[in-house]
Amino acid sequence: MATIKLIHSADWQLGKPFGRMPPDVRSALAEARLDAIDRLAEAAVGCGAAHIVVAGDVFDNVEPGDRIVQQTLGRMARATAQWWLMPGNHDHARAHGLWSRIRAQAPLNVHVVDTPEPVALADDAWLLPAPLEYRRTIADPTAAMVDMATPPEALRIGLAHGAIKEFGSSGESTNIIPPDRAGLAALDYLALGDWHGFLKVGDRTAYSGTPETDRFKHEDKGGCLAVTIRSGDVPVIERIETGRYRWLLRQWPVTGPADLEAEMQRLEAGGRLDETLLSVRLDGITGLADRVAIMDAIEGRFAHRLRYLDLDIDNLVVRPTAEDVALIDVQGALAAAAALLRAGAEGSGPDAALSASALERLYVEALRFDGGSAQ
Amino acid sequence: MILESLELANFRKFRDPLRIEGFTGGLNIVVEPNETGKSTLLEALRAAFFVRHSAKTELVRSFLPIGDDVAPRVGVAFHAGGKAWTLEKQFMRAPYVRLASAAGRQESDAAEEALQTLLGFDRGNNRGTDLETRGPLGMLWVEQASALAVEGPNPIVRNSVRSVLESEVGAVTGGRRFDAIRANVETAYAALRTGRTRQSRGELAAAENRLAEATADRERLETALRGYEQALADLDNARARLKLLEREIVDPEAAEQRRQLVEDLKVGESAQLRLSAAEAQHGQSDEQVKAAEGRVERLDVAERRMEEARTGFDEKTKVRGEAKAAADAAVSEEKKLRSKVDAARKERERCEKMLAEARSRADAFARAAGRKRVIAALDALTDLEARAESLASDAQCPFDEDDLGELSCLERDVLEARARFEAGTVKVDVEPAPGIGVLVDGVDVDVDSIDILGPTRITLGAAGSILVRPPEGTGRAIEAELAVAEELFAAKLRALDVTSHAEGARRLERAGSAARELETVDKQIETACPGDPSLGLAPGADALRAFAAPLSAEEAMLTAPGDDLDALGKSMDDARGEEAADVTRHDLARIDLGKAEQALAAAAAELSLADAEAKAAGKHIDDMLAAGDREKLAADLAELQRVRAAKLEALEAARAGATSYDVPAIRRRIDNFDRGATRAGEERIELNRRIASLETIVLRDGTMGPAGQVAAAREEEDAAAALVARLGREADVLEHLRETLAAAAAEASRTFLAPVTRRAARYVERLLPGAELAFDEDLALASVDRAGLHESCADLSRGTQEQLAILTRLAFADLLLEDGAPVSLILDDPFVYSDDTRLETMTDILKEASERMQVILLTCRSKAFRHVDAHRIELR
Repeated sequence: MATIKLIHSADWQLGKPFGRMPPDVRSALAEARLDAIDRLAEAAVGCGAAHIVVAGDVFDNVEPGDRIVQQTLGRMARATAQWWLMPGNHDHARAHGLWSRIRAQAPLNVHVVDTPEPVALADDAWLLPAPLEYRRTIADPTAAMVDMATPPEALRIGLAHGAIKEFGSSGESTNIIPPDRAGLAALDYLALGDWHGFLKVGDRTAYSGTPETDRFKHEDKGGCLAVTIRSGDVPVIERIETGRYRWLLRQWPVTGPADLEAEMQRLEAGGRLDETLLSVRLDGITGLADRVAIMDAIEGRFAHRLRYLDLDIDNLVVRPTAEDVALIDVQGALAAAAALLRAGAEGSGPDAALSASALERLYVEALRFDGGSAQ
Repeated sequence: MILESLELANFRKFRDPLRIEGFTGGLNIVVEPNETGKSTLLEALRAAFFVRHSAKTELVRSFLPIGDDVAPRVGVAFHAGGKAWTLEKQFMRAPYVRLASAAGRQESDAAEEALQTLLGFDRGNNRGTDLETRGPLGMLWVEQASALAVEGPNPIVRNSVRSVLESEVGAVTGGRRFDAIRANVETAYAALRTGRTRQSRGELAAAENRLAEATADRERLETALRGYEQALADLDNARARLKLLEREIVDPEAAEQRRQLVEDLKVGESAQLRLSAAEAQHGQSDEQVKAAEGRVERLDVAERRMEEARTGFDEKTKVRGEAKAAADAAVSEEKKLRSKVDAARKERERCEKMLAEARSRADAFARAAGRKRVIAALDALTDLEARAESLASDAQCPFDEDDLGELSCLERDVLEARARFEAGTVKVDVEPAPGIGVLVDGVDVDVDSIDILGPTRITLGAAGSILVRPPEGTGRAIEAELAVAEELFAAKLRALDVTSHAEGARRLERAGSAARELETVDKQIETACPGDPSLGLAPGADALRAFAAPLSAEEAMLTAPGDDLDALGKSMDDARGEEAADVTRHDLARIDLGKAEQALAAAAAELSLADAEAKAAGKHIDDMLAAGDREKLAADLAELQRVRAAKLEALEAARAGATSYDVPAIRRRIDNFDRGATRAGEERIELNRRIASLETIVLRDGTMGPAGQVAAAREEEDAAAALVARLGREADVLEHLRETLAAAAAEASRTFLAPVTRRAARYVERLLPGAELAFDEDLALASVDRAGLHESCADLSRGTQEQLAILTRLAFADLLLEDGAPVSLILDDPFVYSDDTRLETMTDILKEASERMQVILLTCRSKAFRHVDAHRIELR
């Protein structure tokens, strides 16, 4: 009875620039993506898999630099497993392009499957790849699997990249794969890529997700699937975590610094803050004093503890209190300015936000002056 | 404060002392003609109060009248602080100052400081540029030029005003805190944008630059990526084209077409060859026809020739007959003459012989006499003489070498003539039977051989005769020549007395040797005969012989011969003459005979030639006819012409065949095929080169990761844009805050300056009804609002500006007056730009103000101010 054990991975997106991040974060994230290759190799050793199939988007774009390519191939060369790399939509195959280069440079244990033809992983296990030749493929790339002939009794393992067609959907998205493709093409297992999180679709189809998370969409750390396929049986799928960084998307209601403190503690309980990237939106209405205290806390302290913080305070509405305004001045020109800004902030129109910010700034400046003169 | 009098001397144009008195506390108008120095009055006042007496500045030097080295001096009497004061100041030379009141007098610096305190101003720089230090009087003593400018008051005035205002409206600003915060905001703003033009700077400018660079980078990289993708597409395209091209290069259909063309070419070329052959055959046939035509033509010619030859032969036969007759006549004539010559010669020879014999006898007689005479002298020389005599005999020879040569020539002539004769005669050997006589031409002869030259009849007894006819024409002449030659030879032999030339030669030789020996003997005799003069015998043998000869002659010679030598000589001469004439006649006949014979020979030759020509012509015709007779030749020609027509037909056919395959066109098509193939080859090379080049580009650019670079550049651009947005927003916030603070400050100022505004408004209301004044923080008039229109001061007309400047000064003066400050308003030639209505309003206002303070108006326009009720002072 034919049996094979393999590691299913996808969506490495190596060479993703993370250009909006500061340089140190950028290089840490890039390094982590490369490290994921080592983790996958370790996972293969750990579960005794001889093959690692990658269901597309090995690289973030269709023409990454040689540095990325060399780093990738270097790490894969160190592994004992056989790597089966398939072009996805990000790194789709094209004549004389990236994949030609990789094939020319690849070590012996790295195989590029950029043509829709079955290849033998072992005598009794065949890989049926559906590589993408365009960034946007309208047709179902897995359709060809139906007609791909393999030796009788051999395992048929599909490898594809794209979204699963939802029943009843309009079908407008690109390279849609039918959810019952495994059944239609008599596949023992269909290894999918494109969705960056782990997702099982029926018994014989799964998205492995990316080995290292790259966006504020999937809370879990990245991972891969150790799949044991035996003819006749439902494949046994085990998820192995390989990622380093958590990418958390949060929306915190705050009324003052205390709320924020509580949220941060909860976050820390869930994992290391220095391996956490946080995109947080603060919601709430505060006075000027609280607002300044919240910003001090988050920018002065929390931000430094996190690997990366993406702060959205557009929904943190400021309602200056009488005390706030009094702190600026009770009479004279400063009081008059504060009153003007407050009136502006409470009004509507594009200048309201500007006035609110200006008022906050005036408040901060007044505090700073008083602090300075107090000293 | 009230000015009471002013006195000046040595001050600018006022060299002589000038004193102006009687200023009152109200409105004073000082009227003076233009250029008399009214502005100098104001300058002198300022000098007296604000310029230190000890100063030597440019300003102070300008007080000196031009060209004079004197001491400018000013004196002022005034009322201030409830006291009357006199002030005297002298500059440059022996400078001094004196300030005196009822309370006392002060001089020098003390006086200056007392003055500052009294009138509320600071020590200045004495250069006239220190208006800031001059306090209220500096503001209120308005010179002509500055009257126009709507300026803020000087700091001294400002501070005075502020203290007045603060006491009036209370503390309304944030003071130091406001200023500090505002300054911080300004600083923060200035870090991002320039205050006035709002240009980005500092961090914001840097961020904007970064964004611009990132955008440029992104565009550049996108271009590079597009180039790379284009290269990929080009490479793909080039590979596809190469594949197509290679298919074209090995296209079997094209190869088949070309093969077919090569076949066609071969066929075409052989057709061409056939055409050439047919042309050659036709040409050959044509030649044959021409040859046959030639043969017929030649036959015609031969026949014509035959005809002509026959005619010629007949003519020549006739001519020869005539020549023959002439020749025969000449022969008989010559024969006759020759017989005559023969006879004449024999006669001459007989005469010669007789003469010679006679002479010989005479000589012998002479010689014997001679011997007889010399015998006596021969004793001693007997042997010699005998010898000499013998030798002389021997040496005696009647002829010499020349005669012998002549004889030899004659002999040779004979031989030659005989040879010719023998060649031309018919020799008939006759051997008659015994008893048979032989008659030749009827003449009995006894010879066994006869040379026959002409037709000769030989009769042998009664047996009949034989006529021998030798060839005509030559025989007789030859015979004659031979006979002549033989005659001449025989005559010569006879003359020389020899039988043959050989004998002659021998005799001559013998005579020669004897002569040579005789010479020797004669010499011996000569030497042996010394001569004997006494006997009349000369030396030598001859002399001796001559001497001895008569002696011998007397003994040997008995009788002298009786021959008549002269007669003999004359006969001899006659015979010779006869012979010569006969010879001449015979020669002429011979010549005639020769000529006749020549003509005969020529005729015979021509006849012979004609005969030969006739024979040759006959032969020619025979030869011609050997190839066939005329009918055959004509038939051959017709046959050949038919063949030629056939060849021409074949030629036309070959020509048609050759034209149906256009060889050059086929060659061109083959060339085109080959050129196409060559081009395809070149194109393939070019494509391969291009593919290699594109592969290099793809490999080179691909390794740099153009897409990755673009992705990174896009994100960098986004990040830069986000930073620009954040900083821009911060700048906007700061700008908004800054403007709000400015607005708040302006509002506060308005509140604060309300008393000033209010006082000024009293005047302005009368000048510009409904207008509102706004002062800035430095108390300068900033703007005028009237009829809902906001006007900046600088935009107002000059007249209005001047009027407002005076009115605001009045307002401040009022405030200062209330504060108890010394106030005096001096206007230097004001309202130049005012119309009459405004001027009236302004003079009304000044009139009212003069009720609170002293107002001095300096003007040259007495008419303009005539309506004003004021204290007038005329300068003269």
